[in-house]
Amino acid sequence: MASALAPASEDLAAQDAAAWDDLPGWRALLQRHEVLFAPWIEGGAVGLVTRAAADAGAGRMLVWTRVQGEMQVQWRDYRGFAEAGVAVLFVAQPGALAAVHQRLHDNALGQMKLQLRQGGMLLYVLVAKAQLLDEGYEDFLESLGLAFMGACR
Amino acid sequence: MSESANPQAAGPNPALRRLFEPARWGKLQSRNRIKYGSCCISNYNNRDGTHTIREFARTQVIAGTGCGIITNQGAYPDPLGEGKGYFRQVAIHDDSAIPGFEKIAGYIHDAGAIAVQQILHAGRYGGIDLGYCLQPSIVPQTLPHFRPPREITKEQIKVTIQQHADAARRALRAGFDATEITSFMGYLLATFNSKFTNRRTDEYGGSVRNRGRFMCELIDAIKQVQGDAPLVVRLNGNELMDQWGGNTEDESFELMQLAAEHGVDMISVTVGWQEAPESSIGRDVPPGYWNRLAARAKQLLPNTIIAFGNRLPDPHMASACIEKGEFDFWEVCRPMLADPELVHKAQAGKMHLVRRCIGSLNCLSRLFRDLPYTCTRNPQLGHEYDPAYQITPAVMAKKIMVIGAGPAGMECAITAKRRGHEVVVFERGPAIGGALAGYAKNDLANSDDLLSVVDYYRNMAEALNIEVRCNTTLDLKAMRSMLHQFDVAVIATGARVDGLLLPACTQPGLLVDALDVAGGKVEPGARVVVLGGGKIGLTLAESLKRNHGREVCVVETEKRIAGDVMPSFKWRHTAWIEELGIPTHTGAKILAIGDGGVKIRDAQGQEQFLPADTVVAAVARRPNQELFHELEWMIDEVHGCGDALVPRGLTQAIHDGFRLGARI
Repeated sequence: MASALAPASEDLAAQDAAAWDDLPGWRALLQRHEVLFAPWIEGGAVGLVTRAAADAGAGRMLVWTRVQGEMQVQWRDYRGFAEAGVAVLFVAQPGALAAVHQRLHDNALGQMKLQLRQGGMLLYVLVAKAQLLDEGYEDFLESLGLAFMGACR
Repeated sequence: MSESANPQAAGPNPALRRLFEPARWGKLQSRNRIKYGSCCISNYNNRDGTHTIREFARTQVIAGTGCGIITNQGAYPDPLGEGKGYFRQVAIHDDSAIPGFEKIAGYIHDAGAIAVQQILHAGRYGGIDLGYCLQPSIVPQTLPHFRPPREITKEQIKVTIQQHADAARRALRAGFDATEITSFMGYLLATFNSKFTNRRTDEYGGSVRNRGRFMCELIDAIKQVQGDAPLVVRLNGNELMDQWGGNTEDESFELMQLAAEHGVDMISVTVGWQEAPESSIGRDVPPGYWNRLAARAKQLLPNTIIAFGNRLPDPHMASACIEKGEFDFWEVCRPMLADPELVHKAQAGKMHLVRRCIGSLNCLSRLFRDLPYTCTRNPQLGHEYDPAYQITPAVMAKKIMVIGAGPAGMECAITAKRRGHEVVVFERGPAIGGALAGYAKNDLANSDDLLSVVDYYRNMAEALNIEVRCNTTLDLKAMRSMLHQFDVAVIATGARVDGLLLPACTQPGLLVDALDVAGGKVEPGARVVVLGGGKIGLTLAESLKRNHGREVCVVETEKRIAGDVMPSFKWRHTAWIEELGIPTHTGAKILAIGDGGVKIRDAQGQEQFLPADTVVAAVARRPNQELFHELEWMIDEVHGCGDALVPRGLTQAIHDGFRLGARI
């Protein structure tokens, strides 16, 4: 059983790595969904890190930023919540970002929403609600199914 | 006339023998095994944490529920308000609060119950007036509603424990018999207990025993001031947060063991965090789903009193669980928000007259908008002090015709009848229920809950001897035959899809009304396009796909679906739509209906043709108001209620109907 799982696990790691490294692919996705990002303020940003980086408080962070009216995708160092410098931080379990990446050309944001709901991804809100609203994140976060007022479950 | 036509009259119900047997709790004796749980903060108090008349009136109703133990809602223990989780939560950080609490303890004792005061420091969900919250470690919020965290220092831990102990002392001075602390859904105690939020490296973090240290110190400090007065601790049997580094279920039970070792007198087993990725108490969770957690707690701690009630709304199920030794007390709250007479009706064998909690979570939705909680089923909740919401004998008995047997009409009819009016209900369809009956059958969450609303109206009409004339259409001709037979007409005729919002259909039979599909009058073809992504359209689309295997897509003119759905169910609908793979076209304009489908212009400005054998119109509705004009010169008083005034939803229909029935 273990030997059968090993290649799958390696595959997963490889898919994950490919997903994290595909900056042009993510940029194309964000451009396709420009309507969600157009309200962001200049410099508005969200970050994505692996679960391992989040737990360690150190690692690489994939950042989606609004620069001169366009969405940019870049890497930054991640040094913990306090210094993240993003409004929202997405933390991905192994395989979660790969699952989103696999849908890059059709419903990647829908897959991201599914990952959030199923626990494959978690998001941390690093600024106050009023700031999220003022800086234009509402449409984007709503599209991911974020319950602004509490989940009421 | 009482709502249940004297619920005690039928005598005790033998099937509920265990539930209603007296039980010993330490030095206290409870008349039965039912504990009113402190499930929700009412948000009825003043912003400074002092009591209001509204709160006292509500508490008097709770006191009269017939529970053996009654837990008063959580009061925050600190003067700064770091523990304050709700805008209008009551405070117990100062002796000046004692007279208010004395009043409440008095109501509970006068009703023959044991009085428990919950002390609630909301922790991660606290600091509502401060702009920050206190946690053992800085773990940011996952929901924007809550405040950014600050790490609690060791000195603050000591102060907080002392504040809890002082609060307990005040509660006892006010006359309460016991106190309760809560490690539920992200409150301060929960954040210490959970690995998700406790990442400390000192003696309060790390192992289960270390994380539980704060709880143990709290228990010790409170028990020291309380003497032999019992202490309850609410503890998660499962946080539902383990995937994200929260406690495993095993760790949750280790914490229970720890609480028991420190001599806690009752463990109230709960489930889930507010930010957990799955639901714990909504209508989509089957009743009894979590009972296993209570059974595990009882097996682990046979000598500790266990209370439980999460998503356990049925007293028969609760009694059976007690019989099987799965727990000792049924802890119940929301079902008694819906019907404060629940216990009395159950005891009298009149469960068919109970207004069941339908798990809509209107109560929580309101709280997270910083509003006082209300209940879909119980219009009086929160208005107990308000004369307009009292069912008082009519000054002059009138003959009332209610037109429409949906929730608005039936609620009005029942309320008016209870006041002594003579009421006849006229219904065009074959049965009570109106549009709700059709949509309830299509509800993926738990159609039984919604159908229970229809059953309740049918049963109440029978119990109160209200004549309901089904298959009776009221028009001018029918009215002329009844001239001067009635003093009042109540128009509760609902609403219909506004056809003017759609282009004319060029293919006969292609376009059908959502209500006809919901009610089973129309059998849709294999490919269905639903026009309208609000609650009606989504409910039908989901049901047609899952229950009837149709190929379905949804067209919505707004940029998001579920715009008219209650916040507590919005995410469920969007989840179902995605899980079922139902394509949605949002921000779309409907250009034409016919020639085997629907032509739309999508959000990107592209024209698309969506092939369909059936097109379901579920766009915005307009009220059925024709009778207002027709009856104006035929009857003394004409009133409207529910969707016939403004199309909204079940809550507003019920509340409108009640309010009208209470004032005619």
